[in-house]
Amino acid sequence: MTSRHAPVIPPHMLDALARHGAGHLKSRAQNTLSIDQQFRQPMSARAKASLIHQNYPDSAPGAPARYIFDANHQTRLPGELVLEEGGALLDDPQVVEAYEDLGATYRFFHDVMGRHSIDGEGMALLGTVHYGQEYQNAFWNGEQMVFGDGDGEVFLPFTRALDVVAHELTHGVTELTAGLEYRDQPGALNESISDVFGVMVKQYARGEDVTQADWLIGADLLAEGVNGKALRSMSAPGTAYDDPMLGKDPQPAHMDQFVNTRSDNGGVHINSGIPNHAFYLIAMELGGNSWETAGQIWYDTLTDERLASDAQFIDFAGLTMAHATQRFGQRVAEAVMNGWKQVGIGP
Amino acid sequence: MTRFEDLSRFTRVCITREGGLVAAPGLMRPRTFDVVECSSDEQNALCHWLNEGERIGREASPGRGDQRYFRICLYKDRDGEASPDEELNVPEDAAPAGVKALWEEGRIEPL
Repeated sequence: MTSRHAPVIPPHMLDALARHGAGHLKSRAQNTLSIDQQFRQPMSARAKASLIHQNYPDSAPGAPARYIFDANHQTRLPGELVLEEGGALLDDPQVVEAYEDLGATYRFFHDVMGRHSIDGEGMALLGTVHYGQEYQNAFWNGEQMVFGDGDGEVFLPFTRALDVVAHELTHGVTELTAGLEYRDQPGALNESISDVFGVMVKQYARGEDVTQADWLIGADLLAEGVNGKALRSMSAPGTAYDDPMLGKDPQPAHMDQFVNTRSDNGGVHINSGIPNHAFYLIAMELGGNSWETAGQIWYDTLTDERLASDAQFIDFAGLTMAHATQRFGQRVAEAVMNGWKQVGIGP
Repeated sequence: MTRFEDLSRFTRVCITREGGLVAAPGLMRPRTFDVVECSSDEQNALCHWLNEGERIGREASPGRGDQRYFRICLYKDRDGEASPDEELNVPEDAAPAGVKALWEEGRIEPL
């Protein structure tokens, strides 16, 4: 997949030639960089999904098609293919965790939401482990999920946390449905949706109802000695950690504490605490299993064509109330409205 | 004329690494460069890396899907909490070596 699009001369070499090359080499390299820039336009999410379909066989509905790669501590993606669907599990915990967690997330979306993989059309699930050196992150790059091993002092390998793996896969679902912009309030909704589905996948896999769940994101990631319990708390945003290395959890739980900032793409990981807390309050009010009522409403909203890519919190809240009424009736719709009101959103 | 042709109208260049799944404030680790204290060669190198960063930032979506990125802010004011006068975001995985060196090592990679 990647090699098909790799330029013959890597950009870093062109850059070196453009800076240090002799006479004609320098000017040619500068011209090539300029032309290269004109042609390298961002691909749409659908175009990227098509590429995955072309390069990696789909699966039949009801079963995932997983491909796990090993980056061998480099940053070239996707890396070396080490496990395909149905293959023998390796003696590598991160490979096994990525494979199993992607499977658990697939099963949730299929069995609970009726969605056949990220794009609804059986798109293969690609995950790369051992990315970079002591890499303290996991991400979705528009084509695949990528997991670092952490540094061992603050973060453990990111595949340890099922909710984190599900969080990243959900970024793919969001890109291929609502396509929420990754900035300001639509970006915070984008992040919150990943947290909401991440926490539901974990609860579903563990068979936990709303009172049994911890409502934490990434509780398995923090190393011993870190003063914190997780990356985020949906029940009490802003309380997940307070540590010399990490700083203090900056998430608000209410619109009164909404953070206006240009940092973090306009606070997408910060203000996501507000819709996160709304989901928690609504799920607790409704009781039972989060995925059976609140989760269905969130999924209906995410896949509703009326949800614009620049949606604000109030737009998203309004659609959840409409779907609550449509699918479950007035009592549930009132619980949804009350949840949003408690975080300062609503009429 | 590029946006970062001449740094003489700025006093400070600040770089942080932002975004990512964790996005904790302690991981941003800001670095600040005093433009006035930079030699002419260093200012030229800084301009080069900022322009390279802008070229790469334009063709990507810095931050999207929990991808980390470098946020570079340029200030005219020497102190204070004013908003930056110019800024750009550069995705970490595609960042030029000179942009990485600014944040990781606090130094200006010479041309």
